[in-house]
Amino acid sequence: MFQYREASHLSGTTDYIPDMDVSASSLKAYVITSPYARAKLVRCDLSRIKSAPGVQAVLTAEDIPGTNQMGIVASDEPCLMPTGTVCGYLGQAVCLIAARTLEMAKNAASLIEWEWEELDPVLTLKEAMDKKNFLFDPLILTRGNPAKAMQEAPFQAEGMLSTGGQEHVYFETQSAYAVPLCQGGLFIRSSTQNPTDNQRIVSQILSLPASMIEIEAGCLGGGFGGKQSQGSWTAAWASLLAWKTGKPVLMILDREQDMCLSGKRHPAEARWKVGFNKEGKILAYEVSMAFDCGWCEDVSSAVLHHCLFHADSAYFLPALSATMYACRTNKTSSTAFRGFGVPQAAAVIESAITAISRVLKKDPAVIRRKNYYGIKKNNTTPCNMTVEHNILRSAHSQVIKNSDYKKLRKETVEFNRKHAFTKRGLALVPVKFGISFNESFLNQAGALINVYKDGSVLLHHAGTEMGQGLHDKMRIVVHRELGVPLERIRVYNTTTSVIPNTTSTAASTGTDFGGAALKDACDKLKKRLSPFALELMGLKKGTLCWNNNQITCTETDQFISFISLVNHAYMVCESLSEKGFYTRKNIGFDLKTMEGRPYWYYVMGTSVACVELDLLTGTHRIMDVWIVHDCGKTIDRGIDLGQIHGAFMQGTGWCTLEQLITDNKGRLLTDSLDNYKIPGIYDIPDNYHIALYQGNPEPLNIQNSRAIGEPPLIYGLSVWLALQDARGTSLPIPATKEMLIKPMYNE
Amino acid sequence: MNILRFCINGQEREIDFSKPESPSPFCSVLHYIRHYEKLTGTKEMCGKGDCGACTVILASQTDSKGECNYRALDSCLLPLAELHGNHLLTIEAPADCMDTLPIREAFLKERASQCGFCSPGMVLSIYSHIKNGYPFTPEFIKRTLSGNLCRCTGYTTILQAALSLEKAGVIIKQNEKPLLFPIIENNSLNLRKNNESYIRPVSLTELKELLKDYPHLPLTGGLTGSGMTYRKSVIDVSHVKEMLACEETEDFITLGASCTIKDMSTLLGKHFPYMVPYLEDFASEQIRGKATIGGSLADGSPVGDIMPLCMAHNAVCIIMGPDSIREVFCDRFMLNYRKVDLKPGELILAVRFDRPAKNVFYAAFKQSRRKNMDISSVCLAATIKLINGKCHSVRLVYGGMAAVTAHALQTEKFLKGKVFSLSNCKKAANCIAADFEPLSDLRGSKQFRMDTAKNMLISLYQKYSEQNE
Repeated sequence: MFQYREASHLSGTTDYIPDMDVSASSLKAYVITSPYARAKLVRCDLSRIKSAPGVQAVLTAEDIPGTNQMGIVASDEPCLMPTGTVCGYLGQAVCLIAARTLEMAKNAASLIEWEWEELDPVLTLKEAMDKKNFLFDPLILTRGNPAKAMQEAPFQAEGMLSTGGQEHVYFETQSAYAVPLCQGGLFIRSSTQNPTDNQRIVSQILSLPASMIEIEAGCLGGGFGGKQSQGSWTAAWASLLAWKTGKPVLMILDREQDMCLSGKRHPAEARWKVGFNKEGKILAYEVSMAFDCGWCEDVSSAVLHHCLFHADSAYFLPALSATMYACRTNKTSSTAFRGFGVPQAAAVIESAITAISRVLKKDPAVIRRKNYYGIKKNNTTPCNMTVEHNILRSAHSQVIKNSDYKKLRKETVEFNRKHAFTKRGLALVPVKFGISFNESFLNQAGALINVYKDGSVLLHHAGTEMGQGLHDKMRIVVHRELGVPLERIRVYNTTTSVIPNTTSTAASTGTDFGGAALKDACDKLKKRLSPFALELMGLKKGTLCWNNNQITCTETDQFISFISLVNHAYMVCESLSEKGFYTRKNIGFDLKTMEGRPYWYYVMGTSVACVELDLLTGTHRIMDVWIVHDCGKTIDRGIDLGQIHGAFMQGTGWCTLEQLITDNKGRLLTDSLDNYKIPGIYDIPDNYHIALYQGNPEPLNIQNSRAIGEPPLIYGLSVWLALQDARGTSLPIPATKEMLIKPMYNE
Repeated sequence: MNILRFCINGQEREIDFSKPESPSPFCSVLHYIRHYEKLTGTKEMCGKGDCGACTVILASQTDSKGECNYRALDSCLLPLAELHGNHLLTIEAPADCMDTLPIREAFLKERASQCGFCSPGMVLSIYSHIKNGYPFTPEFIKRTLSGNLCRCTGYTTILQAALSLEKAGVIIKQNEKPLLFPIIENNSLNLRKNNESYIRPVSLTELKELLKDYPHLPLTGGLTGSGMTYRKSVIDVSHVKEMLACEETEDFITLGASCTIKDMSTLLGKHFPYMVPYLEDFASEQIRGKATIGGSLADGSPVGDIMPLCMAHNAVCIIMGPDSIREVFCDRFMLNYRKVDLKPGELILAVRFDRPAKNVFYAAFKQSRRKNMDISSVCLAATIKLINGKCHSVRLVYGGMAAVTAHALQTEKFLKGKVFSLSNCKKAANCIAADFEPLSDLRGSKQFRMDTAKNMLISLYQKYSEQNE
């Protein structure tokens, strides 16, 4: 296929925001943030900043013409914190500076004179739970009578698990470029997964109609959820300064600032209890999880719901009680991160299953298989959604076969008997990941196809391209529908001026939504153009096949080229532009009964990991990973495999390496790549054995594919569980070397 | 002359620092190419040598026949002055200067670029791999890419792409013309702008004069450690000819202090193969080609991986002062936290190692949170002379356990005279607590450090028994 996008990345010509050829008159922006986690801003004097060299504008909350608000769901996040109010975390925006150069802006920032009244911050989950410092009421999901079922269960096990946060480390930091337009309003190029919310927030801050704000997203240097809601900050700040100065403003957060200011994956602490029988079948499961949501709500409500609906992971639970607490602390506001609450939920129930296997002295993989959702019975989730197209057992069998699991287990036991200081471990982890936004109105997308007279095609769709290959998948979808060669199909930057009212490119739905909306446009276009095609072939009726850049009548084998068809259509004044729209009806759940259909479908698969752990150092090596993953009918195998590899490593990083450390004042100490470590090339498995599950097309989704972005991240848990197997103890997330090392000198 | 001459992507450049619009001599190459040359293909990600997104190629002439040496370096850490006399190649270079097309095509085929922000850096690191004739095995490719992070792909496709390029060197060579190099009168530099000066002598004679004239100016080597923050005036000693030499006599191997970690790995690794894997865990490929031995020692870091090696070998620092040369055992060089035995106007000229001795067992271990591109939590370098299975002399030097890198004196004493065995190593571990009281920080808790330091003694014996099986 023609890889325009990747070719441009590789030759360095992709214009991420820092690479844009900005106007010479453009100003550079810098944000001054609170130096305390919780403190009242008593006084703020900007006079020295204003007179500093190169400074063109200094803005505080008082200068905002519209509503000082940029919360994405709740209205609890001021764009700039007003004097007299209390900051929510160390790093909250107070004041904006635009100067001729970034250096000048930074130098000016050091001249701020302010007075703060320090208050005691809440920095731990325990403290937040003790004080009942919640952002919203706990979310509860119950099935059956869990207390009774637990009591009656022949065996019980319980435990606790703490899971850490995770910094996104998108390579392009939060950035935006805002340009005032001559007739009013602004054009903003933004590194965002969510152009429409950027637009809404800028328009409410500036008190301008949305139609005067255009947000465009080019190729993002990574997103991973970090630019879903918080990608609007730099857009809002740059816009305010551009509005004030009448000049273009470029705002790029530097790495340390980005890491300190922006939210991460929700850290969580869970308590769980499981009741089961001697076969290992779960009879009751009780889980309560406290989430560190940080200082404001952001998308925490959605994250917690997603976690709640995945408390079961891949397992049928006859009796369940799940409670999710949204704790408010004085830290960065936790936000969307690939997986969106599901990795935490899966880690907890997998811990419970591991405990069952220890009690019953059985291989955990056997217990897992025993508890999978069934095909005909035991096939409804706790919110009474039926699990359809269930391949859990089948994928399980395949991965067992591919990895020669029994032999591997035997070899592992044998190896461990022979080696005192090196231990191997093995684990199998399934995934069942629901796809859709739980909020039903978010499940909509628009698209626009423009066909030019030469038969080339330009696509517009709602999704943003952040490395996940979405634009290329869209080209493939249209190529399959219209038969136009891939190299003649281009995708335009995502812009609110062409596709309005978009949903953020998140929840792995980019391809599902964009593809379906584009298909709708293709269908409509084909319907309009088909009579002309028949007419050109001299036919009254016939079945038309759009393929190889031509339209063929399947009955007569007559054909005309796509180019002559569109030329003809143009000459007879038929529009060659078509919009498409897609929506998922009937998604949602009843907040009272917590019943309904929160997802359109589930993505499933299984992985096995084999690790070798050096007890003397706590260092491990991932020897082999087997994955059987169901993408339905894949739209692009290369892209899907790339997502599996990438998600697996990101999941592994979360489980074993990446650690956020905050001091007792609420300052993030791991604020750079120097002290926050993400997996490097030495951390990859020695061998991957990845198979895409065959023969389970998804009838409800575009070209029978399934979403790919987030689900494979769960496979990272197989490394974590294999390490527990090797170490012989339960481990938190991340299971760093500190947890894995074993003092051997007294043994 | 206040002028810098170099080539960039086939074109000659001259920067006259006397002109007001010129950048500072301390300006990083990354900043220069992005903002002065408007070449934005080189990406800025971490800004401190921790990610490799800004990797560029620096080609230097090695002889008059046009042979050159290619290094992949982090341009964020590279001062402009480093370009003098060299040819800088960025991702935008035309194919006849640097043909990256085969590499880019391999990436496309393997789908090895996702968000793409790390891609230009990856391509250039692999280009240096090809140019240096390194083997195309996963181990060597990983070594080459140890300083290039990627958050999207999980590296596998990148590794596959690189592995497929075994034969690309030939094609690349056919497409490239000999690189142009600027004519420079002298490699030594004295660049001044406002009140900043960047002075780079190339001979010892020059350096001596400078030390006399400016005894208080900071000295720099590879500018990858504390040097990253120097922005006023420095004397860069990394190009002093005499300090780049390696002298081998019957008894000694003397390494010039400006040898890089990579040089050290080659020159010392020849005699002490155990050092090679240890030194390859030092930072990243980009940094190893830049950081110097002298810089690492003079930096006085309590965890510096190089000092423990030197101390374990009882190496000698040869120190040059304004008037004389003196020698100090590395053991006595570190005085206190970040304080070393160097007076104003003095510098480390070279480090002298004894040749490998018979019956001596050498080993070194590094513990860090990530294998590569990470500062040690704890490191250990050990030399044990064994006579009839007994420890005749024991040198155990730890980094990361105290304010300075230090001998585990009690532990050494315990092992001395005893049979070198697993049980004695385990017993020796209990002496570590008497030797050290480490701190907790971002690189590890106190407990972790203690456990690591103790377990390392078992690893030490394990290594010994593996070698003597």
